[in-house]
Amino acid sequence: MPKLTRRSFMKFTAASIAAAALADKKRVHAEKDDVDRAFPLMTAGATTAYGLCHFCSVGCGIEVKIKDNKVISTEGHPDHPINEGALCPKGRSMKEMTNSDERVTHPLIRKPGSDKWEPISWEDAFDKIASKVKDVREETFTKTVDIDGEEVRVNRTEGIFSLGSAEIDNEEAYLYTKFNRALGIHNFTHQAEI
Amino acid sequence: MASLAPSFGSGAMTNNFNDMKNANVILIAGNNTAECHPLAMRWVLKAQKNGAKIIVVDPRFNRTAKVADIYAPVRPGTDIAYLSAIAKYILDNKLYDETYIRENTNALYKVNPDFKFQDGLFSGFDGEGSYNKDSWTYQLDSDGLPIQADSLDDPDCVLMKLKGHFKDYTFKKASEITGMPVDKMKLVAETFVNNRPGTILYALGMTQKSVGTQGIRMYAIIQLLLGNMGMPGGGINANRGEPNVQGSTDLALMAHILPGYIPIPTDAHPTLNDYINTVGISNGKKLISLLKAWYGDKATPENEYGYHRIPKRDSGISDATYVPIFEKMNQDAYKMGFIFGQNPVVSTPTLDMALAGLSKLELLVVSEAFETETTSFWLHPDFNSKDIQTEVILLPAAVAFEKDGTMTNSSRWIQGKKAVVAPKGESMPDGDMIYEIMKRLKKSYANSNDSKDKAILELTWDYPVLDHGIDIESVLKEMNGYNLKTGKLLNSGSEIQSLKPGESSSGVGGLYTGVITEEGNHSLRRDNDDPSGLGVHPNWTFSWPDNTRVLWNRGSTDKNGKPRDKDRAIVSWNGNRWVGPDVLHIAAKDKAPNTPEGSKVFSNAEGKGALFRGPFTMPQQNIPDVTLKSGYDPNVFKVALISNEGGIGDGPLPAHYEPLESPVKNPMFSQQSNPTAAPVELPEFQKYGKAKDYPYVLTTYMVTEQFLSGGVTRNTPQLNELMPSNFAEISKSLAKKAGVKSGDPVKISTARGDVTVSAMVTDRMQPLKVDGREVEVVGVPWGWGFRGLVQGESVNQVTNSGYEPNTGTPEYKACACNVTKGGK
Repeated sequence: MPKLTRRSFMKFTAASIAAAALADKKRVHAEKDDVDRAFPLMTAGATTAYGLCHFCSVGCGIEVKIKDNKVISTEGHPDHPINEGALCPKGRSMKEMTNSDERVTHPLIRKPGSDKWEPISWEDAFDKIASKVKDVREETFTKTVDIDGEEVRVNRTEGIFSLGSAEIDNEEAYLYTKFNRALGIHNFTHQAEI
Repeated sequence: MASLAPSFGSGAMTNNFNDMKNANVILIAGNNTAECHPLAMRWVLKAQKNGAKIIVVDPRFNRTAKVADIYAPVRPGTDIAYLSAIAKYILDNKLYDETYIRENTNALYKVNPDFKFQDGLFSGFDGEGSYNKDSWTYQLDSDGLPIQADSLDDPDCVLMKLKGHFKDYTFKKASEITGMPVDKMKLVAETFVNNRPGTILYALGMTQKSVGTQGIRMYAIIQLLLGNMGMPGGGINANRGEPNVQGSTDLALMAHILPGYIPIPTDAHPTLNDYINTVGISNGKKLISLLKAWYGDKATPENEYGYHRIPKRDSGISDATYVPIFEKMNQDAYKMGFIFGQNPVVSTPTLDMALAGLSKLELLVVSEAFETETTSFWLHPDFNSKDIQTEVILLPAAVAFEKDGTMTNSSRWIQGKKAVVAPKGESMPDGDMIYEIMKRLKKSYANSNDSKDKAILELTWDYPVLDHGIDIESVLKEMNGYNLKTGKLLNSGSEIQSLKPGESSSGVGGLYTGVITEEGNHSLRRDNDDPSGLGVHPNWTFSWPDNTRVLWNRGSTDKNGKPRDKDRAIVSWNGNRWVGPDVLHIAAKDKAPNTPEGSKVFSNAEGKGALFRGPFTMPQQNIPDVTLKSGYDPNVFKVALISNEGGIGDGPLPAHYEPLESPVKNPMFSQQSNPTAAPVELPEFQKYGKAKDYPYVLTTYMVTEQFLSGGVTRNTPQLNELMPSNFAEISKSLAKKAGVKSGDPVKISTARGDVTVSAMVTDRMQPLKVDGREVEVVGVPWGWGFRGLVQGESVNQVTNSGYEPNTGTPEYKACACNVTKGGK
């Protein structure tokens, strides 16, 4: 299962931003001690890519600067018809969010009664989840109900609920719905309701 | 969107952000645009620069009010009262657009003489919390079609029913209820009515109430009366809250619908024939197209296209699901739960209910980019983690810049983007996690012959895997749909209706069709040209449906297809065809304006904007005499109804009810609050307070720098520097009563408990004069919790889990509280 191991992204990253141009190697000037010194811009040598803001639903476009496979700057995209180059403080912070050291970067498990997280491999995490889904589905499945004397096929998995998410992409949301419904999950909603 | 859909045919933000510059007046009520949608405010300000008047109605003089031309305060939860006074002002003075309401609404339809409204209850109340809606109907002719009055003065017609219904909402009465001064209310009414087109902006400030659906119905009624629907600069603009909440709603991460707003099958529809007979031809075809996308060649007419693989919902329960899930969790209904990208341990009202519920699970699976109060609920300061037996698996999610995909903004633009950096560490897109779990389930069920497992085994799930995960564009193609005869991508959702059932597939029932066609992926288009200058930007990404930017735009023209306002010509008939910068909505694009298909403005069951919203079924005429074979018979499409509207559970017209917790007795009726609100399930958590103990009104909101539950932003130092801690905004008079000054801790208590935050004493909060006395309002941002780089007590510990009966949205915005000096 090569895709689940740590992958080689350099090729992929290069391909996905192939159309992006190298930023101009501009310099900024600062006067100090009567000497006009020149410094390279932080974005010198960076590639420019197109991104979308991930906060409120206005959907602003973001000009993302990337250097060494790392986001180094997020500014409003000048071409986007809604934000026309501007951004709010949250949009500006997309860089910090992406790079944050606070991010969870490995699957974790908290065992019953424990007071800490422990690492778990993707493989083990997926196996554990799938196996529990199957157990609970088998145990709590309602195939039919009696409605006014008629046996109606309902195919409901009663023992699993599912919440989420307005924070994931359309394709992911679609897969999540398809996944939940195929399993028979009907206690299913997300933050749009509240 | 439980009110826009029954009013017009589908529920979403009608216009778009750029279009707001075309308005002559903007009413912002239930939304703090400057704070919560800062770049939308750009277009509000452009309108103002062009001469438009900006009106803000809010309990608090907020950041948007600061730049408004008119600010009017309102007591939380009482919006229907002042909006009813505006409706009365329009009706009594005949300020409605008579041509528009005659041609495009149900104003002339005659209402069933049995329909009544007395002392806060509509006819048909069962005394226990629900209505029989049989009397909320039209008078029908022998074909089952509504009978129309000859004149708008006919006492039976919808318009006169409205006039009678709103007659008691004088400005004075509405002022006594809302605390909005009479002069201010008159000014709001006159300004909004006399400047057309006008648009209305709202968000959770309107919906997080026990009367949320009916509040938005008021907007629909007012905008229909004024002829503002379908106009550039008009419409009703719901400013939605999360980056992809429009998309996640379209894709039905909800209990009562399937993707594309297809009604969920229930146990009242044992067969596909029954389902189609109930939901109508159009929805029936949509469901079959979805089943073809999900089950491919295994979906056949013989097996009812796999109809029985989808779980059927209990027909006896309402659409509300969120609070009921936490109620049932506490009643030991679940062994396991999935929570993807959501933080209910900050966002659920009556938080102890959520904490106790999660502790009862055997396994909780959470996908998140950061540790949140939900992933780590077992570390809650009130818990001893040794006592919590729930196993928790935390899956690290990739963030927006790390994955390919599309998101649908509030105004229905399906915007595509590509991954620009690799996922951090081992984090992974949510789509890949879901893909992997289903792959394993398919494998583990591989040898099963049990019929229930076909739902998994036969599910189409063969997405190509690229070096960075599954091919997201192949998922978008499945959503868009195919013509199964040609194998080509569909161009428009209308093809699902014109092709025979089973000849097309679409995972979203046609709603997103056109986003990716043989021509290319339109979500990636980035041509921002706007030749008309009306903010249409037709080649910027793709807007559902069919790239239409302004919903119901057929109504921006007269019956001959001529623009009603030459400066706002967004579509028009040039004598031979429909032209203009936007794509014609609802009316047939190849039909002249005076034909039945070319004159249609709305897509609800009547095809008319619903000023009065009862149940209605559009029957098929000339039904052949056929006996259907059981299960599924294609002849069902020859006999089934065309479309069906069930009405709204709490009434065909809005009425003023007090919030579930209120400082006053309802000044309008002896019916105090929404009679259809759900009863308490968990008395140990869901407690209600009385005005004598909790005399003030608590309302909650968000600030620009801390987003929603704070799971991301409270982990972002540059935002924490701007907004490092939480606060309670209170008036100077309340500060005096409580003996506190700015910066002092204040204890906010409700029947559910108390939280302590710092007081912010401010003139932005003013006591309101309600029913002859002063009512204080307290405002607290809600997105705080016990994890993250900055922390604070969650005000949702004390908010009310009572919810709006149609949608399930809790009444966060109007709770009864007390405020006292906090000790530390």
